Amino acid sequence: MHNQAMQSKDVTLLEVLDRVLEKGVVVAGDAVISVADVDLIYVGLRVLLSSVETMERLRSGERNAPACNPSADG
Amino acid sequence: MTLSDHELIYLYCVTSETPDLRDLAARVDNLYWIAHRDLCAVVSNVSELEFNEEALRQNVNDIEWLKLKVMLHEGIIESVMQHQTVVPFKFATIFRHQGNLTTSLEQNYDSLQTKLLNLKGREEWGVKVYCDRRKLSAALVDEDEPVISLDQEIAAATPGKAFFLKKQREDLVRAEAERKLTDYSQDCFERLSECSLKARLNTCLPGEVTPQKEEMILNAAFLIEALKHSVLMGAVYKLRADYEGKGFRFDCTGPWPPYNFCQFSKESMVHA
Repeated sequence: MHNQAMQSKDVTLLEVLDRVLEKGVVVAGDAVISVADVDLIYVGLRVLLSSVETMERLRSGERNAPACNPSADG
Repeated sequence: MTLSDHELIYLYCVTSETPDLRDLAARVDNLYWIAHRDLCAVVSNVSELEFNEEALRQNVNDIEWLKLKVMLHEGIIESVMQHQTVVPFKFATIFRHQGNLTTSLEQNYDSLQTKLLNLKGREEWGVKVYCDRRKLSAALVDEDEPVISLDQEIAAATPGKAFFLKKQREDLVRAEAERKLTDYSQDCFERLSECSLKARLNTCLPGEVTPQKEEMILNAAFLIEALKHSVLMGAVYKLRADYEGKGFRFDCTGPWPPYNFCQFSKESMVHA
């Protein structure tokens, strides 16, 4: 499988959320459904993150092999 | 692929060449592409029960659901961009019918073509900088002129005066740290921008949602020539050498789909 990019990053859920929820092309209109209020998701995340258990769960969701992450190799 | 009555179309990205979805087909149900003129939209059929407005509002509050779907969104686009230039769409961009999607592609055709052309052979990288304010404040003792001279004044003062000067010092250190933080993060952004084609400054995420104990002080995205990330990495290494002692930490990730460099201008965004 040619997914080096997916494996070359030490990516947390938050890194992905930070992009896919707020960035990317937005199209609007009656025929389109989209996540309107991104702030609400962050409010929800904050509540969830206040528990240590959730923090651990999020961390275990991190992808490995930080080949391109200079902060991880020194 | 036919759309059944209770299905909607989820749009992930648009490419200008036929995408190779064979690797993904094993992992994602109902994934296919819809051609419109020379554009290809990578889509999947999703359940209306899961993705209608009401369900979506509920589901995004479920962290496990969100994690699964957000990683899938990212994974699909990353897999497609291994071979093609992509214009990535925002999470959960859903169309009711294929007709709505092709209408939207037609109405945004020029913008999409321009974006695909501008993004060809380029990739997005992200840099987040964190700062431990205690370390930054501690570093001021050795190098910040106003703090050094106040420290000298305190050393020479009577105990009573020293007490008041120490109070004053707390405010001074806080203000100087704030000023340095702005200067330093600006320097970081400028130096990274210099080795990229385009740069975007994003809002820093609040401490409550970042797993790091330090505060996020810079959240930036850079568009660079594909496979030339060593130049950007080099700049990150230099910044780290300069600022690590001041409590800064750098997180650099990529290549990402160009989420930060594909926004349509307001005028060209057409409602479907």
